[in-house]
Amino acid sequence: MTIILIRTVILYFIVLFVIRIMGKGELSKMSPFQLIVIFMIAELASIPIESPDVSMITGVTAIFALLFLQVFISFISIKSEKLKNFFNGKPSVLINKGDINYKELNKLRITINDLMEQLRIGNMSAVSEVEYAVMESNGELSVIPKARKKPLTAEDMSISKQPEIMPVVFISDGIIYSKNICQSGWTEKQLAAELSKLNISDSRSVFLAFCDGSSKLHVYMHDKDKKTAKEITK
Amino acid sequence: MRDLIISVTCLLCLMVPWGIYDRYSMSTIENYKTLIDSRILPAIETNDWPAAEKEMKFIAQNWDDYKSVSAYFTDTTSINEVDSMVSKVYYYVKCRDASNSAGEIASLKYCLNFLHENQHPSLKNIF
Repeated sequence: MTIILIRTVILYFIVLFVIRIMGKGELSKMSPFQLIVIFMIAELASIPIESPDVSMITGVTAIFALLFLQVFISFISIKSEKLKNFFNGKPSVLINKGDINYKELNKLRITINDLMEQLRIGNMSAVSEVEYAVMESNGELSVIPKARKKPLTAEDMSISKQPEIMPVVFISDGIIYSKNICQSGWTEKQLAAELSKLNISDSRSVFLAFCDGSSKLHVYMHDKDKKTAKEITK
Repeated sequence: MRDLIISVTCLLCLMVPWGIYDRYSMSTIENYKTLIDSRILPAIETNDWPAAEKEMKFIAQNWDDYKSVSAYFTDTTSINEVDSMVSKVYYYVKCRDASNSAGEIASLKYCLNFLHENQHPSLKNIF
């Protein structure tokens, strides 16, 4: 029992390390290869856990071999377009300038019903609204609507807007993130001043404080029961 | 690039010790086989039990060291199998049981061979 417990803990950290080295792309399952590697790692990690008589180094070697292969293939895919297409496949254009590419649908073995379903998932009610539909190499359908069907933007109405800044969290569970405060152009003094305007003297009592895209501060405090957190406004 | 270097390093950290173990295993098993063929079996056949016991004691003691290293690279089922055989042979020799000693030690030789060969990369093992 203890052996299984210790092996589980060790393999947990090894798998965590491997997934971190593989990168954020692995977590989003960007390509078929990455998906296969995740499944294989899960399977390989469970074998030494389930079978205490199997050497742990055997399982770890297989996991590290997969890590090396995945990182190596990603690395050479960046260097060579041909290899990238070989390993990841090329995106396929299913609807081109409003016309359905029947040949490509047949090649991918996708029926028109499948296509319609994917379009609906992409918030397109009809094929006639779509300018381009591209089946990406990870199996997801990207849809670009026709210009007249796109939602209006500020640019279309010639309305000038301030550039957006990245929304960042300033305080989370009482902990101040100084780096985030500097990144968004604020200072800790400014933050303290804004909090005092809301009658908050201690930043440690703040559940959440963040700055939105238009540089406006939003502050959330726990209620008395600490069951919910409400936004505090002036 | 950094991730590639880390992944290569991780793999080398396992493959290099395995390579060293493979060489150590090969030389140790060959040594055991030579001892069995050239000293223990002839000693059993000629009823030279003190010589047989002395050589078998050496193998039994050396096997404990080999076993503690192999545990990292080989499955425990195979190791336990050979371990029980080594003990059996040792006690058969100690009890001066010629037929059982000879039979078990011949079987032990083949088991030791498989223990190493099953871990060695070859087409047979890969496929």
